[in-house]
Amino acid sequence: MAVVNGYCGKILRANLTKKTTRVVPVTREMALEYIGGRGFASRMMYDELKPGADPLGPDNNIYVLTGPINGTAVPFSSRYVVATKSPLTGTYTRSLSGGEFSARLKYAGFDGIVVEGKADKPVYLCLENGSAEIRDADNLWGKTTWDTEETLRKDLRGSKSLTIGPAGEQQVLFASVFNDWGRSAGGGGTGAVLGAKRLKAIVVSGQQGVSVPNKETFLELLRESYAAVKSHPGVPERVWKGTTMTVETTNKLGIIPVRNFSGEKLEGAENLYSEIFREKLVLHDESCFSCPLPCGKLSLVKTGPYAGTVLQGPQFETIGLLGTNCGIINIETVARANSLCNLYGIDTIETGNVIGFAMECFEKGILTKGDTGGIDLRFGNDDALIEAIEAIGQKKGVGALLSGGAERAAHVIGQDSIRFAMSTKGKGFAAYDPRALVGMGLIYATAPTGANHSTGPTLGGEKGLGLTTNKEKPELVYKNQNSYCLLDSLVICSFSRYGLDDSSRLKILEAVTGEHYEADLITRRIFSLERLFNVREGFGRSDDSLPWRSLHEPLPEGPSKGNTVRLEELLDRYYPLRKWDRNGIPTIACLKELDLEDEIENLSQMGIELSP
Amino acid sequence: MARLVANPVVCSGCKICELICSFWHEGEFNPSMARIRIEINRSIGPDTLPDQIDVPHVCEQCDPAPCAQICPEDAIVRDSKTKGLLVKDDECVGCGLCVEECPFDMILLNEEKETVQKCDLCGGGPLCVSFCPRDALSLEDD
Repeated sequence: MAVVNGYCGKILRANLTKKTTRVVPVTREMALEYIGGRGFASRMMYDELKPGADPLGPDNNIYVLTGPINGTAVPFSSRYVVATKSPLTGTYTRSLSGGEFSARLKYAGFDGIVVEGKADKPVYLCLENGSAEIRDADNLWGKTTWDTEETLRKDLRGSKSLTIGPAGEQQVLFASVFNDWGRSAGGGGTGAVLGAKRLKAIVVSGQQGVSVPNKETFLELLRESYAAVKSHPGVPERVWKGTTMTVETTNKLGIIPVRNFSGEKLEGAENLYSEIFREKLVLHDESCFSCPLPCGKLSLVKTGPYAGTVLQGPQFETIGLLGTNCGIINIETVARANSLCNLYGIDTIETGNVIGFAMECFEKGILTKGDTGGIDLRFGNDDALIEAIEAIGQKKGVGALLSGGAERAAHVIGQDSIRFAMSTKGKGFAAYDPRALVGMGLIYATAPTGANHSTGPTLGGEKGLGLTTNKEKPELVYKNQNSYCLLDSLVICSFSRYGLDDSSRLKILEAVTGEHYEADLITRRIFSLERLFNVREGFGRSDDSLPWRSLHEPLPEGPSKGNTVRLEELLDRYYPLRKWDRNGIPTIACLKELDLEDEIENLSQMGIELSP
Repeated sequence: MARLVANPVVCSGCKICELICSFWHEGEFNPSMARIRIEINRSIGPDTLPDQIDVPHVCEQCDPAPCAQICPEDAIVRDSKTKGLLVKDDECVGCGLCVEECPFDMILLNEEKETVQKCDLCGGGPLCVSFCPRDALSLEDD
């Protein structure tokens, strides 16, 4: 029995260098101070990863973590966290995925997995009913994510697996991990870290249940929660359109990126809207485990050159980056591109971001056919998009140049191309142009992961405040970031907003565990501890930046025409909300308030000066 | 005869039915103990039909019922209230013959308790039906 209900109470630690596994307990302090998931990751990464460690070396660890509510029937509780030091950014990163893997990890008897070291040949990790084994993966190496998953499913009936594809093996710096036929913890290059460790997959299987302290009251709480989802007015549209409903909204508001965030209008973007997506592609609505809102769309390309392509998606961000950002207006091409990214195991956001960048370089003559291996890398060229993805997936030709993201490529290419490498800390922007949604600019700048929208998306809030004003944006960003620390630590999907809010999520957490949580304090603690991890790696205010285009090139058209992001003003108002100093470093007062006093000593030993 | 009826076209594979079933009957969230089962097939092709992707499997409450007929202890009986088939726990010896006999693979052997478990329609108001977010499950009397 775990020390706190809801948790398995056990974390599996595997060392691939030593070929050993061991089980460590989840302590009561850890549970109550960090909840789970992202919270656990923030604590463990700060404690365990030596500053300056090579993200692709044996000293980096991979953290795969659930929270106390996973494995229960709490609506939207399908998610798990993958965290590591990102090879793309050099910062802390965390990414989440849905599907069924999270619950199955709990049923296998573990709250999480930490993988250390580096194997001398391909291996996979198998967890089954409380025990674990490192197994040979020679027969899996080279396989796509899908084939790896199918092979492992046949080998161990009833199992679920997390896998990497060929791109992860090749250490493409934005390789992702995948589970459940195309669900992905996409951002930050987690798949490259697995690849560097020669860890092809993690398989989980088991029949251990999750219980709660009071059956009757919990059943009542579940009834209330499900009723709240069912009566939420936004649900039917969300189910019908999935995340693609945001394509139309952001296109009309001039937010969706067009031709590498040029800010131009894309003729024909309407061909990517939900109605056409549904009509041409969607075969079936699919849910993650324990989720009452099936936003997932199982799609099949029925005609044309890509007929027979099967995938879960494409989703909004993918359509924005692989579609509009590359000037592509054919949803079937986007579907094919998405499917290829999934099979190779790369992040669709980063892939669309870097290809958009390369297309702009090509159009400007900075890259030529000589550089691209003959690919005619113009905006809107469907074939070129597919060829470029193949090249990145295999890390060959121009794919090798692009396999580190736009910012790295710009440093190689030169010629001021860095001005339109649309990233922060090396992580490419998601499908929101910050000039047309300035709060998102502050999210990109201050996210502990580099420009990751999912650390506190602002579109809903900014529609109310005004898209281009700085007014109240630091406060919105601060609030959203804290809220997402709670979501990511429970671990629950952000779409739980369809029926639940932070207060009901907290009520659920306390019903599962039977414990009281200081949620406000915990979420702020997690965010500042992640910041300290990055401060220790040398990151500060000057890295909380946006590319030249976002700051100095006025939007050429659209509802926010003429706007740029006035970032410094936002940062000046944001840091004090966090009690960070004007260089973006948490103050001593901040750390004391968050019960992070040991870190004060730790940082001063490293010669990092903290303001009072 | 009352029984659960499932609509595989509408089912989206969330398995909330499995979760709520095991919670209600066994007191824990554990799909391996559920008396309803969702089969998920995402490796689809151009010929896949909409009812072949997420496929719910439920007890058909057969009449005549192979499980009741083969039971050497006459421990599976028709409930007069729900008209479903019930396992009498104190008479079942856990021999597992019914598990083998069920054409739908809908009976579970509980080795610890030396008994078998099957859908009892929750005594008349099945929780899987009330919790299904897609209304893919219903209780029908025919």
